[in-house]
Amino acid sequence: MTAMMPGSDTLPSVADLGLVAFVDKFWVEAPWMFWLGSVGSCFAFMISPLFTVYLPVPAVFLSANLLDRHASAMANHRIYILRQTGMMVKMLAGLHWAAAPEVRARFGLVPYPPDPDTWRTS
Amino acid sequence: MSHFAYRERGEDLEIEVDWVVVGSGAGGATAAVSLARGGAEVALVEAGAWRNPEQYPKTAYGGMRDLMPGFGSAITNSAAQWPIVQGRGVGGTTVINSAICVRTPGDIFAQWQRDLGLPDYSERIWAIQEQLESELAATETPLALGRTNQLAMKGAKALGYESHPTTRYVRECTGSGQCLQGCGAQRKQSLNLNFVPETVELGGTVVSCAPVHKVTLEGNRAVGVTGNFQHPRTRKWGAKFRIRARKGVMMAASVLHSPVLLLRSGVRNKRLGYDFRAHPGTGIFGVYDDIVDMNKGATQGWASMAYREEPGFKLETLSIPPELVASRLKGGGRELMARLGEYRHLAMWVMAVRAETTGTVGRGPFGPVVRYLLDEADMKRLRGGAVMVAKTHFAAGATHVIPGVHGLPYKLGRDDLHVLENAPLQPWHWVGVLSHLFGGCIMGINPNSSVCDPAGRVHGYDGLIIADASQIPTNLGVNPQHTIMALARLRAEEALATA
Repeated sequence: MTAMMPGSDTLPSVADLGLVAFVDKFWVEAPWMFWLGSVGSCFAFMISPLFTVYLPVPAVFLSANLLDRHASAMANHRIYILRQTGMMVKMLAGLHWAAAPEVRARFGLVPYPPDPDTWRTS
Repeated sequence: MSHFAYRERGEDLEIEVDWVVVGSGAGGATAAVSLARGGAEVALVEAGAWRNPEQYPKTAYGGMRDLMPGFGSAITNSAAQWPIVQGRGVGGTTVINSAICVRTPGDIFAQWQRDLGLPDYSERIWAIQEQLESELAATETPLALGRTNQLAMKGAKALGYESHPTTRYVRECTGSGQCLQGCGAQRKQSLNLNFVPETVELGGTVVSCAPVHKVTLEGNRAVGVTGNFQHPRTRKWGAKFRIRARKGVMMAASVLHSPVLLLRSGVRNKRLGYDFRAHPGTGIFGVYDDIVDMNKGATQGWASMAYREEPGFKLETLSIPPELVASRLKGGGRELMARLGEYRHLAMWVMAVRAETTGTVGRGPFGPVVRYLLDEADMKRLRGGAVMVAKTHFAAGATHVIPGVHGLPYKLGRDDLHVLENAPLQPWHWVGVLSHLFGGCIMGINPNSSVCDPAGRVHGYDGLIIADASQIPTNLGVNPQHTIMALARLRAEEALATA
């Protein structure tokens, strides 16, 4: 997720916005099918540099520049299923990144209040 | 009577009513309140939780978690995996849609009569729709609510085709841009705010957090439903519920769930799950020199039906939350971050195809399985609609458009439209989405080619009535909520008259 949304001169990286806490929350709250799809996509992202930057190593060992090329190639890959896994990783990152107050401020939007996470019990 | 929510194991619930209505969305809530107004004792059973507006999530993440089945993970199980948009919770999809209100077009009734031998519903349906418009405050969206809507109107005018501000079930929209996460401002008239509480006031019962497992059949008669409560957060299974129906069961569990539930219950009909249809669509971003801020204003304040009949698509504005824009733009890494830097200058408009393609809904180990892949004729319609959206953006002053089609450049300029006109027709090149689902339990006069009769009664069964969009046999080509609600009220009135 960090590779997909690494930040820019004007926008923060998803890694700087409490990503670990988000991932912890997501693992607890997501239904297992969605969880499995997410983990599978992250795993596919990790093991697929051979198909993008032509190096037989996990993505975690790539240099910053190669990792960026890998992220871009996954999101644009000609093989649909690889493109879809890239999309899944990007969607998860985006759900957290764009909800952050820092990002919303950059987009001219007021911060979100907390999600209530409650429902009617009577 | 009252509301029963999640119960722990051992706290089983058993009740008996006249009618059980399964599902509380546009069809179910309307059927339930109509039955209750007619003096019937009703239980409205809903798989998801009942949330008041102050309990709606604010983020897109919260919306997927709290208001959509499976975290919004429903997709077509075909060569192209397109998401399927549906709500879950009391109020169903009416909580997360834009509440667009369009009367059923006359050509639909003519088509049903001509091709399917159905009776002419037009006068009764339009009379009910007039009532519903009054009850739910159907109002034209002020165009002042959102620059993206104003730009779309300007573009359509410049190109000379008909378009209009949407009419929606909204009381004095404030343009909070939160339709898709539930309107916390309480302006949108989703049915959890009106028809469901009214059902309770009239003596009905709401059972929430309660996915129905089976319709109980005694011989060929539906006599109730059974299931287990499910905790809305942990998804832990809780107590059993058994609801007995003295008069019958109305199915309004949605196009995805009604056919599957009937199959699981042992209902025999060879068309169950077939004739699935949808409005598949895609969005095109326009890039403007000035700030657009598409998430300020009405989420869907503009529409055009100019091309509904030929070639067969409709156009709308749709301001998706920024969280989803991040995944909708092509690319990853630094290139994606650079593209997101333009966010405030983007406007997203969508087209949806009045598709002729049909698919199926079937039982899978983990829920409904949808098989649906657009054929070439519908893909041509989709591409044609995308071109029209792009032209409208340029006519409104956009400098570029972002088509999001694999194999095409990220941005296209005014002189590059031919590239989009020749875009590949394979669905997996496109980022599509299915909204507005139809079929799976379609109505008709022949039991060999339909699931229910023209009054919604499942062929060969007593007391089992279809009251949601799964009975709709063709693609409407307009936003279906108004039609679904009117058909549901018609089913309730017919049931009251005959039961």
